[in-house]
Amino acid sequence: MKRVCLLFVLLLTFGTYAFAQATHTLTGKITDEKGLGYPGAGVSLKGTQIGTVTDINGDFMLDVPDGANNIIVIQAVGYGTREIKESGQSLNVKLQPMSRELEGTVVTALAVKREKRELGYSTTTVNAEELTAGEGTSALSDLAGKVAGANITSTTGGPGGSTRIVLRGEKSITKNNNALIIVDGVITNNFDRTSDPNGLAQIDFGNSANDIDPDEIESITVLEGPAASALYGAAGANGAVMITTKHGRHAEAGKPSKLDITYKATFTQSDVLKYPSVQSQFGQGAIYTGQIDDRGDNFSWGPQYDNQLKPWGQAINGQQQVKPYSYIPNNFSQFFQHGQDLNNFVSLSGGTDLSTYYLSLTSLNSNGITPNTFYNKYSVRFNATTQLTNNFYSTINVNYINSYSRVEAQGQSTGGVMQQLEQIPTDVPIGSLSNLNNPFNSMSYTDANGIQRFGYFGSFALNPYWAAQYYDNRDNTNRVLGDFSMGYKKGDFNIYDRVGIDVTDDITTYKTPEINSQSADQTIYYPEFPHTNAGGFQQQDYTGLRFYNDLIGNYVHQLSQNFGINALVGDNTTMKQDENLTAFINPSNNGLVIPGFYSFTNNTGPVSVNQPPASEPTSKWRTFAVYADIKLNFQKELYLDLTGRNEWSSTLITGQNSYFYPGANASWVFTERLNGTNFKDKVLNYGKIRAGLASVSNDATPYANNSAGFSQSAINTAFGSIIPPFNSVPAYQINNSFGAQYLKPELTREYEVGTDLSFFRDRIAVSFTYYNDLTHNLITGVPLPYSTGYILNYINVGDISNKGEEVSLRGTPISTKWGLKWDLFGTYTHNVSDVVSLTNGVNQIDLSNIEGIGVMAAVGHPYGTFYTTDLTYENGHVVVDPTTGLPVPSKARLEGSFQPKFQASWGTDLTYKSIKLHVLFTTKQGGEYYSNTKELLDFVGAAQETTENNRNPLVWANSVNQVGTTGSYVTNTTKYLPYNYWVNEIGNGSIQGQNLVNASFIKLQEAALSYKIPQKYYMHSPFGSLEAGVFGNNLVIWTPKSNKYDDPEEESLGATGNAQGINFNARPSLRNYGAFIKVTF
Amino acid sequence: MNKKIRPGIVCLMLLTLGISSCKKYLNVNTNPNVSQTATVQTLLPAAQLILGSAVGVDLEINGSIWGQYWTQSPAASQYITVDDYSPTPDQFSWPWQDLYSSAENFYQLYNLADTQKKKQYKAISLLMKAYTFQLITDGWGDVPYKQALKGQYADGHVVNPKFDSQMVVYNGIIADIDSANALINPADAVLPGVDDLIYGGNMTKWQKFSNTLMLKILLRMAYINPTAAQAGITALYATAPAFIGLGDDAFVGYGYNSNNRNPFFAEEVGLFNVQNVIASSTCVDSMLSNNDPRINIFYEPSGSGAYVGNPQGNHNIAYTSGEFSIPSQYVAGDAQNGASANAPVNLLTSYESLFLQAEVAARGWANIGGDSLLFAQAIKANFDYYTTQITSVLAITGDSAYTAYMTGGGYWTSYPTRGSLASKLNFIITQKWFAMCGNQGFEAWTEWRRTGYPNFFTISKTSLIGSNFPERFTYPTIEQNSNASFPGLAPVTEKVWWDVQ
Repeated sequence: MKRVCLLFVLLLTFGTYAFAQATHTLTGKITDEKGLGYPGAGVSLKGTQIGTVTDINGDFMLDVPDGANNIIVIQAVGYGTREIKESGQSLNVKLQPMSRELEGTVVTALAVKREKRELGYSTTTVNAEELTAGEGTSALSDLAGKVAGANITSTTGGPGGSTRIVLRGEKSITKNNNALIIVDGVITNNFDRTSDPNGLAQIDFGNSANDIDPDEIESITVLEGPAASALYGAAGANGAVMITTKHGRHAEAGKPSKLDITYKATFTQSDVLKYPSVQSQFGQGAIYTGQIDDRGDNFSWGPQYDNQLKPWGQAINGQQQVKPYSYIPNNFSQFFQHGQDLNNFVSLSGGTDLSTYYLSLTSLNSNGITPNTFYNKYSVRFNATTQLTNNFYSTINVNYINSYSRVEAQGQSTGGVMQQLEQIPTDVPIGSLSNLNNPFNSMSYTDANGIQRFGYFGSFALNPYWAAQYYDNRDNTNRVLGDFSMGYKKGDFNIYDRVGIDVTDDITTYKTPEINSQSADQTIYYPEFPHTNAGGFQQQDYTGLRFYNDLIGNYVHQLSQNFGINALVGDNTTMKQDENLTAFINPSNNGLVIPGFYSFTNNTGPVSVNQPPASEPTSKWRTFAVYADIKLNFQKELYLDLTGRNEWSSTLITGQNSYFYPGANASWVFTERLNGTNFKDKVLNYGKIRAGLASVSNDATPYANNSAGFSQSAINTAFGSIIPPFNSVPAYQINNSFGAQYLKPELTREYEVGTDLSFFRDRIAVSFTYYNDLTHNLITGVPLPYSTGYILNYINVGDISNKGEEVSLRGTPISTKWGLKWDLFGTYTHNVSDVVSLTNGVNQIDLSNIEGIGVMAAVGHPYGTFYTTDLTYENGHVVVDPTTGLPVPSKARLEGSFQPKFQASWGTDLTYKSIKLHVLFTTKQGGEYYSNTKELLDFVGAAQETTENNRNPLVWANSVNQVGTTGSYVTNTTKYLPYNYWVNEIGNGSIQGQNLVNASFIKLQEAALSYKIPQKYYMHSPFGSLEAGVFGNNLVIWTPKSNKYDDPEEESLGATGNAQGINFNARPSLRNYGAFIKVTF
Repeated sequence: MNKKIRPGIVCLMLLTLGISSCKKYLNVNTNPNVSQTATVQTLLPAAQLILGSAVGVDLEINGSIWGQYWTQSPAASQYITVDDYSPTPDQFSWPWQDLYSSAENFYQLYNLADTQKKKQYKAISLLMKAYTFQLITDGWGDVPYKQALKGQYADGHVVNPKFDSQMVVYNGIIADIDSANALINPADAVLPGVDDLIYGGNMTKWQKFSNTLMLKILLRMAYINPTAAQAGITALYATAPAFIGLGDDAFVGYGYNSNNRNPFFAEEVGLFNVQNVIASSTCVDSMLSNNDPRINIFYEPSGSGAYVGNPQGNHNIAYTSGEFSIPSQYVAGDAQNGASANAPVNLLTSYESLFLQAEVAARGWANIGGDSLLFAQAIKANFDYYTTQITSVLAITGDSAYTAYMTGGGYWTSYPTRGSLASKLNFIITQKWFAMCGNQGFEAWTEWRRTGYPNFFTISKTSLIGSNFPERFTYPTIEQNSNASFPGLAPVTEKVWWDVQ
């Protein structure tokens, strides 16, 4: 550091030394790499104080001494410093961009483009090529491993699945924690199409942020923290993902208009990424319950395999199927098919010097891995810009999307596919169950006496093929989003108004098939367990509107050679409106009349509609805001950025609904002080330090501060309900939640410091950020004792803190002139989440609670800590029951969480001329998730761990038991029967803590090989370029040995929800691989 | 294009426009999905339905299992913890929630009726709230009462309501009944109609309900405070009270047409129609030994055609299909029979009323005499209830079945007219227990706790509290975790205030 200071002084001294000579005027023009004039570039005479900056057109005039060999120094942001010897009266310089990583422009809040060096906070930009390297079908999933600070979870990894993206940790208990998704400067509606957020019977249609096709994207910039996104107000509290779509490009002045046509076809095939493993020693049976003949059982608690022929399933008309009693390897995989996906993309773009034009059409047609499932999407994007006379300009950007999908039921839903599969004993060949017309597979056929019978072997579960065929869940979305702006720009002034809209119409339908069949074989199959279901139909119509208007004035001026100012003021109007209408014929409430006719007129019972307040049919949210942003720079080296926003929100009452939050950030490109030194040339060619301080307020959810109100809502008991009117008598009850009228907004304060460094002429680039967030005044529903008459009270409760580090690295160990280049890159993300405090008396709040697993915000623990029963420990020994030898369940306690300890990624690109190999690994380490796969497989005796000690009784290792009710313990010698442990303790969820599984994984996230065919091969063809490649994404997963069950990213609680880490027989995630071809004309 | 256009001025104009209409523009936060007001006519049925669900589901199931009418089926598992006397921490969370929710709605109804000067609605809300709080305190002992139900800001925002002793609750509900009596007027200009799901606005019947409820409350105090109980009963009888008789039974009636199914059956449907409860041999064997024809009403025969109960708690056994009897459709206990949807939920019945009067007579606390007559009338009322109220019970035909039973020489029909009070109460309460089989399970179990009758209960085969019986409901976790005034957990063996026998 001392040396740097010395250099600094030397340079200054040098600078003050001046000449006094005859002069002449040197004129010239500085242009960028595209040939456009570069304004504001510094032009100076080396070794003197003589200097100027280029004007708006990139022109300059400079008086220089005659005669001598003048060296002209040109400094331009993003292009570094260049020295050129004067050779005549004019000097025209075309600049070449310098630092690939750390310079250049970035899209920041409000879609304002800024020089990266100006920013006092961290951002990450992923360009189109990086984004689509793995050819995934979701833009958000494609970001995985490419953004430090982001926690990205893709539930299925395939078309139409859900993706959650949380930046720098969860900050709110009640409000959505996902990053804001912004397309071309306009906030979009990232709505979750997942049904049943309680997770037991969730159906995952994905979230709408995945609607944008990755091929339409020019770049994505992620603004990780509030400092970056404060100008978005409340909506930006969670950071922002800024998507810039492709646009047409201007032609150079005087040149003919430019036309680009691109066509790309991508074919992808998908398989299950990770199957649960099962044991191979024991088959169907229940030898521990005394059942002699148990052909209808879902248990694999039978005798050891003997490979002898044995009848199985029901006897139908005296006939029975026979098969060897032996283990069937890869049984689950027989059920799933290859998913196939064809994506076609064509775009037409062009531009004159004044206007640009872009149109693209995308289609994606895919079949899922589960029979009958599909996902189709069609998208049209159009955008145009034009420069009118009198300094007016306007832009249009419109995107229409239609998606139509059918997905399988999950979880405990009666049609849940994984649930049916996991209940098939390990000796029953799943593939043989596919023919539903075969009476032995049938769920319902008519016997000789006209009685409906089922011949399927299972008493307790459905034939999975039948479930996949007749449980029919579909989603059809029509969506238009876009932005329209008009502006006036003259000189340093620019004023524009931008309207953004996002209109969604989404219809989901759920068909539950009718079934009412007795077992064919009544001697073995209990008549108490018929398959009965009345059949049901549900349709949900959702209409969502997002409307934004920004009016922005901008003034950019270079005040002097040293000082520049960039000031922006604006106002914003935001309206959000959601309408939901659900109609439902409940299969358990008489259901449909004519089987298979799904209509709301086909009812015996009532057609119910959504029940407020549990489901709000109408939700309105409005804000108004004014904001200002002033940026000052000194010699384009020191930057200071001050922001302020005042917002008024509809969800808080007058007096609380106006809140101001300021922010400031600064950056210093300290390597500017090293210009001309060897150190800069050879070692540190770019260096910047930055610091940011910001606050963002987040308002309440709509109606949270209302009093309870009255509803004609369901009268519930644990499993049943009565929905009034009751015999035509209307019945309104008081609702059980209400809010404090004087709710204050949630407030997140963050500071961050960081540095961006580039070494050895950009061979190594490092970016490091440390941040520290504290969110105050969290608004959430605090549980009330029922004796108050109510259940939830919305109040301001407490604080959550998130602290962490983000590191990005990029290096180029090899770069040769003959075309070989090797790039390495990686990220590291470490976030420490902590619920600092809640209100007095409340130590924890449920984010969700199902099956005895609470996902909690608990004081002193990370957000998303589990709360459940587990083994009881006494001095490190497991306490067991003295008579059964089985572990004694503990009281519910806090343990584990869904938060990873850290995330990292590592990738490489190897390029030789036009061949490129791309590989990306990602990992999340630490954290846990609840696996119902484990619980269910343990219960039915299919899991590997159920074969411990050959299923013979054994003593629990290192166990003790309590002497009477005293406090003393003695070493335990009582053996327990493994069956009792796996079925009655693990399988029935009384020790749910043992069903929490290590969520760590390493994934081969992306691998791709592409080849740009050299032009010489098609010089006389109409092709402009020709590229082809093979790729894979979500290709391989490595999990710890203890996870024999699932990809930990599969999720049942909805991709955008706050509670995570619950896998309740979610559908499996996918491995995708395929090939593409891309041509331009 | 006018070249003099001033973007700055336009900007300022738009800003001003935005701010001036700001207040109106932001005024969209009144929830349009819920009504800000209710009417007495809509609140009353809701409160009654919530009460019906609490009594019909959780109180009935737990009461009927601990009252030894029913036991857990070995083929299923839903109520194992109840039958094992080891309720989970949240075993009684639902009835706690439903009963307080019901009380809250009666409280809101009272306030609204008070504002609107609708006296009869006030009277009904007072009676029903008293009825509800007796259930709460009989189930859990000390409970929030005086400070309860005041969660909302408008009601004082009491979020840590203090627990009152059971005696305080009893004094409170007695006072409420007195207040209600002062308001009841069958000739009032404003009477409820179909919105009163129990009596259709017949205030004469509500007066009978009031008197009978008072009798039930006072008799509950018979052991803990006989002086007060007797004084209260003397005072009550001084008003020449009319009590609930046949046809005045207070129940919520259900049906199968739409969303008006019996809540216990709705619960069973929600549990996929699994037959969780079967007959306990405690009740089946004693009914069989007395040739009690009502066994046809309360139970379904087993697969063999005979009535077979399973010893209480005997669920860890190999199970054969159809081995045991199950509760019948008439008590909503047959999970796979849609007719269970029709069963009523009884709140206060004519036979209960007569058994209470019989006890008063046996104690000699009112000059009414004829305890053996009232005893016989009470049994008859139970037969009559199941022939008049539920007309489809074919197995018994009113009087003849009753006469055959009373003259059949069964032990429990031979009332000890000259016996001690204890022996009389043994017969009165045991016969009350027979009459309430699966249809007033909580009340029957509660009367067993008060009196010790029937005296032939057996300890559950799978009892996890040794040779003890459960004596109370346990407090739910939510109350423990979120009420700063929570006094501490009470074990299931701890007796409530009036339980001194």
